[in-house]
Amino acid sequence: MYHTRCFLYGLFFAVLQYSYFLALESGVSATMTIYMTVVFSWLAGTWVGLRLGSPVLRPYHTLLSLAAYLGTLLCVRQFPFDQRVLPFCAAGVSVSGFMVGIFFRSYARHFRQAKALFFSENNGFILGLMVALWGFLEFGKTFLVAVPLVLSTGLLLLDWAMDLRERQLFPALDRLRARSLGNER
Amino acid sequence: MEPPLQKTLLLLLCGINLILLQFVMLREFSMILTGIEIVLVLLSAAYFLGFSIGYSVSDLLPLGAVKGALFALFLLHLTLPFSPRWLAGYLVSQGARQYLLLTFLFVGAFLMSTAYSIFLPRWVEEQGSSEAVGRFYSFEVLGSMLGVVLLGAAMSRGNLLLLMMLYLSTLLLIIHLLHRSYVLLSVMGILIGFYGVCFARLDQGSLEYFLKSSKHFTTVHSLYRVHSPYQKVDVVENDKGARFLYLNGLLDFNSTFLEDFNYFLSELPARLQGKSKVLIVGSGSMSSVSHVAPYAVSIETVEIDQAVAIAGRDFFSNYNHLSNVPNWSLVIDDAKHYLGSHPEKKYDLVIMDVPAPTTIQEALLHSREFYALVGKHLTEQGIVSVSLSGDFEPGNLTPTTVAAGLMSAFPQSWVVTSSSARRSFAMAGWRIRFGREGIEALLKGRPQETFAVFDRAAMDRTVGDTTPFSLDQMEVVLRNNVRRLGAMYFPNNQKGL
Repeated sequence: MYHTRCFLYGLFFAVLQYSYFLALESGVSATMTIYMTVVFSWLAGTWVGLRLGSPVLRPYHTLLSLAAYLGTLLCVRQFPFDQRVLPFCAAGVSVSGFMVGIFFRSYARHFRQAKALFFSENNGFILGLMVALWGFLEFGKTFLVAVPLVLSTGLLLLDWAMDLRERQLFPALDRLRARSLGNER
Repeated sequence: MEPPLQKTLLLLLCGINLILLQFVMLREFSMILTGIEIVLVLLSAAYFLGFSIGYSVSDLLPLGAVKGALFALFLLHLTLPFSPRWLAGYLVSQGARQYLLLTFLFVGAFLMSTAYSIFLPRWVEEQGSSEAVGRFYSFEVLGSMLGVVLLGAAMSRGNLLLLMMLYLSTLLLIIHLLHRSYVLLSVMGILIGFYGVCFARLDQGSLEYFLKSSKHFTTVHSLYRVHSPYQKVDVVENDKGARFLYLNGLLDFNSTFLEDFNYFLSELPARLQGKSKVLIVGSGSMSSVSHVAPYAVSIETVEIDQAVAIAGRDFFSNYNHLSNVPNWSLVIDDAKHYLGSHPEKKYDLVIMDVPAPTTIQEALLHSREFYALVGKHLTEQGIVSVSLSGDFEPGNLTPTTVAAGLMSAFPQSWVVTSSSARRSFAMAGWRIRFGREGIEALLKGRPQETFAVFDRAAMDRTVGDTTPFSLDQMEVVLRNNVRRLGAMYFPNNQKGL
């Protein structure tokens, strides 16, 4: 199940990154400065998340990432073509990147092999690139708002359901194991 | 515990090269395969697929094999960007154009990024702790940040040689960290030096070979080639001295028949408007400047890509005669941003000299929202002139979609279809000062011209219920991309597509 969640997070990251590009390029400017700002801020946020972030991905990290994205969208809509919003947008992108760093730190604990973690996340990212292109061309700015929202909500629910299952399942398994050991004795 | 210095340094260098290589690969391959949106995304996907392949084999290969593979990669990448052009030119000359896309997606996936992604999971697993992911990965990410900075610096000069030298030198350091052989280091250093010396000749030769094979030139001479931050810009000349401008492999200006294009896009509306304050969005060959100059009070060109502006100014002076236009100025900026951030600017004529909408960025310049923005900058009787990128006929997607955008933004409009320019053009505004008689009077004076003029009612019938490009949907870009891709690479499966 962690492979699937990892894949879905990869998809979410690609959609979010692509959405940042599209929102800024259509709302502020399509110059190289914007492109470089998004890439650099995303990477910088990821770096901070990897080095200093929490070792456990919490729901509020995902919510924070989404809030940063929606805040950036709002900023761009309120001040169209105004490059003075760029530092705020860069901060928003960094916050989303920060969550990526935390995700890798946190999910590494669930994989016996690191390659499976990177493999699953990267495959999700590839699919996310294509989904983002198709989605934006078909649904335009509705996609930019709705899909990151739906994906992050879906991931939060999935994480919550999985955690609940683990919390109920593992103690039950432990009890079962203890009982069977008692019988053996 | 911090990872060993050698490994962190190597991951840092891998991070740098992954960014540099992605840029070179996307630019070169999209030039070969034509840079439409769907091709760009497929190439990006192939590049990232290379990561997945690297991750999946990371613990299967012995270190000796990885070292050997990296050296082979170095030798292969020493032939970039020439070998893809030779390969593509050869495939096309052998009548195997249909294999181009699959070949380059395969090359993109297996021979570009794969080797770089082997180390990260391998070393994390060697460390045997999940905490190692954060520590190791942070160095690769740091390298990528450095790669973005280096890319920005190299691209601000549009210098591919500088970028390739940076890339190969970084690859040399990676191999040296693994082999620790000064003999190998010296050999590779000499090879890179040799590469630098031969670069200009090979760059020109491979590009000319590719263009001769794929664009039906008998002889062709490359005059200007730049990897700008936005696209690959090429100016070439054929044996008859005619010049051509290619942007990402797509023809932007052809000095033979595109002169007629410029008449319809620029000169006709300028003549109809009389003495005007003109804004030209996009520059290309800049020949539209000379077409409007006799009728203009002032001309501003706004172009996002400085490399295109330089190509137009320096290599198409016989067509644009910029030295004879005293009232012309150039602004390097995105047109959306320029107009959006200068609400005080007003123009009598705005000419949209931009490529057909094959990418999202180009479609945004043909969108309802952009035309509405242009509308705010028109004087009361000002007009915007747009190429419809095809014949204005019912069901012809791009022309009707562009026209629908103009019609949704402006109450008055005309469309003119020309036999010489091989496409249709639209003019739209709030209160257009000329009518059908004015347009026909000018066109009747042109020799060997067959034309048709559509008024608003005829435009309404032709456009029907076509939805314009907008921030709400650009589905036509996708449909056109798929159709184009099918026509180029899957000619036998057109019905299926």
